[in-house]
Amino acid sequence: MALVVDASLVVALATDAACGQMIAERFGEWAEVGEELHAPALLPYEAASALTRLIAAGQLAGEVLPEAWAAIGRAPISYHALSDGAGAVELALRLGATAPTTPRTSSLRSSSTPSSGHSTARSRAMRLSAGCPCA
Amino acid sequence: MATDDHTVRLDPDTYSVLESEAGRRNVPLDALAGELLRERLAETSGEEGTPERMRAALAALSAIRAQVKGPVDAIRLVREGREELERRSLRWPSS
Repeated sequence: MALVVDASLVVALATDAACGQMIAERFGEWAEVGEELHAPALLPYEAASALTRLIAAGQLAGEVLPEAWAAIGRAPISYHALSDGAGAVELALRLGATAPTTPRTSSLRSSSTPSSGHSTARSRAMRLSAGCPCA
Repeated sequence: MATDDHTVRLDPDTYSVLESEAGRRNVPLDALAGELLRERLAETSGEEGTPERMRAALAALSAIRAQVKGPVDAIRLVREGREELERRSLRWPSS
């Protein structure tokens, strides 16, 4: 099985004391059972943006940045560039995507809607949800 | 070792560091580049299996998490980043 992970999960792993440990446990379980983790190549940019905001807000010391970036890069996630944009749009429409944001109701939500051009018949999209009890 | 010609584009600073290190070691630049690449790639994706790599990554991420001050809403952080990108895109003049 392949899982497509959202940037919010990786950002939470690196910065969120409340949810990070729970997500870490899930990531560990996935690795143990051989789940492959995939993400759009955009994810590192989103993680960099989040780190920028935290440093600007004084919540993360700038000196920690190289260590934080290296830690994010160590996670065994395969990143995928969008090589077939038209195919990705067609697939998203076929799966019912109608708006850029959708309500999120569970803590670690699994969805069959791809968050990038990468998708397989046996993939799920995983994201942290706004309803996360520890968020 | 047999070699083939390939082109890898480097920014000037990286090339300069590589060139100076190759000079210091008195080895051909491409041999040094190959050696460094093999070493680094072996560290990140070589003998270590995915569970071990994940454990190492999670330990490193946990250490970072412990250094963050105050509560963080990761969803909001990512959403705001996306919204900012969207706003910037909207400001771009159309051709």
